[in-house]
Amino acid sequence: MSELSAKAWLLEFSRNQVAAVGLHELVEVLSRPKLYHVPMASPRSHQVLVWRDEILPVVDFGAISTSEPEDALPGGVVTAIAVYQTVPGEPLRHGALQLAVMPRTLTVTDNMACAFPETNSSLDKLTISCFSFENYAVPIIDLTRVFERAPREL
Amino acid sequence: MNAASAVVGGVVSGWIACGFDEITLLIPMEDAGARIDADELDSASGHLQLGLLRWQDDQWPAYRLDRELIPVQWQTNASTVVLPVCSNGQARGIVCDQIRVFDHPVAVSLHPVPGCLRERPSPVIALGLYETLRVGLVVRGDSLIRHLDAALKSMTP
Repeated sequence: MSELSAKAWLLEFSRNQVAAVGLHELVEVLSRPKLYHVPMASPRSHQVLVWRDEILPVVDFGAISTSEPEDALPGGVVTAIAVYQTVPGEPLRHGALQLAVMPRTLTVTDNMACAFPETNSSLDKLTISCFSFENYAVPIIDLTRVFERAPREL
Repeated sequence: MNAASAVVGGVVSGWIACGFDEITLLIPMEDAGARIDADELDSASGHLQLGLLRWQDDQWPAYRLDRELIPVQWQTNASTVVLPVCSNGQARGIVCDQIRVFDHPVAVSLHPVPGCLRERPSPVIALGLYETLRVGLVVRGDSLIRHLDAALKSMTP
């Protein structure tokens, strides 16, 4: 029987923090858009940007994981526009993810599935499932939880 | 009641955009007085007060805020402007770099604060999009005054 496979985007937030989303869940990549600060928010999501007449939240998982300088990746930060849906049938919503490098596509197959690593990472409570790729356990993240819930609610 | 009025809980005839520390507060005109220059403030001695403004036969303190909306030490100068923010017979002055007036309610389109940004209780009730691409923080006079009082109280030794 043939194995099931799906295309995904690999997102690198910092050198030691990666995640994946489905191919249909990224719609655009921006280079250094204008960001606006929102007070009294968390270190990982305290900014918004304007995209197609919408105000989108910007989530930066690298902001909490790059306290060590060696975690930083060279090159410019890019901003990926993601799309998600809170409930089937509801209008699509968008949010932005800060990435250390351009996202890249990969094919994920059933035999790449692996257990959640016990990392105590900020991604733990946002993870749907996990797969193994290039010596990383890559979490597949739930964008609704990423953009709709404050970190303290997770 | 139009969309803006529904979000802010009252009639909005226009907006005041008050800029400092690379953020912009968007305040309904109904909650703001006419701008004054810093040299019109009376001297003040309270913690972090930069002066006292006169509003409705009383005197009220003026503060400079940082980008987390917390009062900070600040040295006023000749170009400093102060926006009186008022509610329920009270006022506070907000020391700004720039004040702009949009005398039409639809000059600002309102958007909810996204869930992932609602980490702590905040006086920001919505985000406002104005001049096509600019984003401001929508606050009402009462919530901003309550927030300032609470912030100052928490700083008192």
